Amino acid sequence: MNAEYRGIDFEDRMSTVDFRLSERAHISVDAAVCRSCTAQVCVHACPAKLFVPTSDGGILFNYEQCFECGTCYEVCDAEGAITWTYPDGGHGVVFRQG
Amino acid sequence: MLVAAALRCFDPHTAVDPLTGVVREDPHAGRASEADLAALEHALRLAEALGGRCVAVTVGGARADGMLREALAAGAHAVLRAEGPGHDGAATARTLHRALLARHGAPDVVVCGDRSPDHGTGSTPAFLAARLGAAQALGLLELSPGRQGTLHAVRRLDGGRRERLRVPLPAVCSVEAGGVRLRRAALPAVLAARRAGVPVLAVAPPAGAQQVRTVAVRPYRPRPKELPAVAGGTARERMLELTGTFVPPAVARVVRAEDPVLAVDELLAFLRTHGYLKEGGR
Repeated sequence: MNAEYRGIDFEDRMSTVDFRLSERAHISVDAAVCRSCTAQVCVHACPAKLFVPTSDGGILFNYEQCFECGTCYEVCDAEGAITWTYPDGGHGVVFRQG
Repeated sequence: MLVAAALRCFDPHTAVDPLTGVVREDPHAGRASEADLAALEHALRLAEALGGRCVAVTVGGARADGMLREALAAGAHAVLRAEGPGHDGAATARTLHRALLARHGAPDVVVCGDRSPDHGTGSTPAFLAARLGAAQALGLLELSPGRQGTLHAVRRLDGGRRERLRVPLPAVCSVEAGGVRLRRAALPAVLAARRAGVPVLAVAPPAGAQQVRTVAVRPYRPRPKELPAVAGGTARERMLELTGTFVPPAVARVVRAEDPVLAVDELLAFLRTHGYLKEGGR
């Protein structure tokens, strides 16, 4: 079943969106909490691949290409690791197809 | 016997300003395409051979009058310009049909050009044949009177072959440009045609219920792909299932077995591990 959901190539998915970046990050990650997390499901779940594990056990995060889907906030079970809000008006993701 | 030449007027002298994009058209430049000129010549020959009258008819504005006067000069007995809907083949056929019936009655033969240079699809003859209840023969090289009140036609096929047709009347035919050339008009006929008036018949568009109405204009949006629902009690479990977070990634394993028997055993073990073979099965 999973294979059916993985039909879209990452580059194709990224080519359908545009981003108007805001100076305020709408997602903040507490690196101290992430360093103690063993699952780090956000690394696998984020469709834009914004979460990258580092060699010291932490998480490197970049909010600039966020789809605003909220998957990371939904799957993360570490208390206080991710703070998620919507971007400011006029900023964020713009879907160019559909 | 009424033979109609259904002509299409187009403007070959359209110029576009490369700086401003303004399209300039000469209002007096309307003329018939090569295929339509061949259709007129076929209609004139059929009318002479069958002892009938030839009528040149078109759908368009006043700039088509010059084309119709050329038809008069070439020998057409009458011309008719219909003003009405002509934005596609079906609308053009409807306007031509209404105008011919109103002014000259149902034609026995209608000859058209098989295509026009201004993106014409060549569908008008087929629509016209459907309205007249007539036989249709499209894309013809030759067209002449046949035996027993029929027409004899030759159509081009692939590979250099030809198809000979016996077309019953009434009929709608379209001809290619290369078959015949329009005869040269005599000077007295040209001068007389210049002074001749072109009868115009206005054809009303169909009732509103039959017209195609544009309801909304928006970008194309493909239908979403239908996928089966994901099993899982909570939203978090369904997201983990969708993203495959805890599914171990498939890693390619390269096995170099020098003995073929060992290679076969390795393959069978792989198939059993992934459920393609039952334990002990083949």
